[in-house]
Amino acid sequence: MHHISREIDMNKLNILIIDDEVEFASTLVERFSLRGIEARSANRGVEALALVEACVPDVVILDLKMPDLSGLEVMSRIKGIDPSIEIIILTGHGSTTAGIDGMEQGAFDYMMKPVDLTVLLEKIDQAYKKRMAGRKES
Amino acid sequence: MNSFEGDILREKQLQMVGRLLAGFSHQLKNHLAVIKESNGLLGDMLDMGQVENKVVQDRLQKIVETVGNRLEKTAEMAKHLSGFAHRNDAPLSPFHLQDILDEDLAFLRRFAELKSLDVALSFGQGLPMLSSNPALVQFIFSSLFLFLLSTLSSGGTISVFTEQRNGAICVGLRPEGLAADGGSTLDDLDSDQALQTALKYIGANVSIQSADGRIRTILFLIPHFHASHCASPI
Repeated sequence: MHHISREIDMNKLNILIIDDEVEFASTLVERFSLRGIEARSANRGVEALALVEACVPDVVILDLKMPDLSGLEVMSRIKGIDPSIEIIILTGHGSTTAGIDGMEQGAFDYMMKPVDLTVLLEKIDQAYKKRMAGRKES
Repeated sequence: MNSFEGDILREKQLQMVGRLLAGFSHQLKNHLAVIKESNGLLGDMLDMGQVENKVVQDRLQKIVETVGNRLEKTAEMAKHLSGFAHRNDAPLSPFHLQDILDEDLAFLRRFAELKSLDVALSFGQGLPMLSSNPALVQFIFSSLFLFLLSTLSSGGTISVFTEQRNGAICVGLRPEGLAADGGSTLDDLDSDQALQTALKYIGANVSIQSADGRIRTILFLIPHFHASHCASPI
């Protein structure tokens, strides 16, 4: 049985999903939208960076492999735009090395595909709280 | 081709198989992620009452549950395939023995099921991490498991357990069932050169307890640390 979580302050949260798997990203956007969470998707690195500039997401869900820019490159540039944007790496890569590399370069956390939406929402909630706490401090 | 060239060729072949499997499992997980989210979206829509016909709603709900259950199992298999493919990435690395055995058994269970044998697991708590060659540990465990399987007839159980013993970490295999007529013998295990070489390289030992010509327990003892003089062939 599916239960739609409404624990996150949905009116404020803004998510960007960056993944070259078009169906995956768009379906995730739709599922977030059903929960009242504002979400957008981008399927290329350059497109994603333009969206970050325009919409300034709170949390980014980022795939590591994209055709134009690597995920780590995209992450570095997002942090250059706004260091307080939290990034969760979501990858199908089997080795934990890539995820650990990402965390060393500033990702909030990394998760392996396929992921349970409830678990992903919890991680997003934690990332969002960290971003909000950082903003209050500054 | 001399033996050295043959070894090099085999090593390169194994590396290639690992790389191909790793890429394949990556793609597999991406497909599974799309299926999982699509199935999740269908479930969301049903939860929100977007299908009015109750009979159709109930039927769709069951389909969502079936797909979800199968997805969980397939995702677990993909995870093990991916882990298995990456075990050759580094010849020496730290790892938890249980992770290695879980991966191996994900593949080996099928062979046991074909002989109607159950596999019972009992992993020791708080075992330290091993620093060794994970691919060779998997190779040795698989060899021992398949050897034991070949000595048994249909039905019964193979118990797999781990524990600390004599300063090493021990994987035990204990058969409960009838011996197979014409099955493998201990001589077959002794003459398995690849197994003996793998044991030597990681500084491990295998001890077999038998009675009345039947194997009671196989103990695979792995040192906590890969000794420096035991260079890995892979």
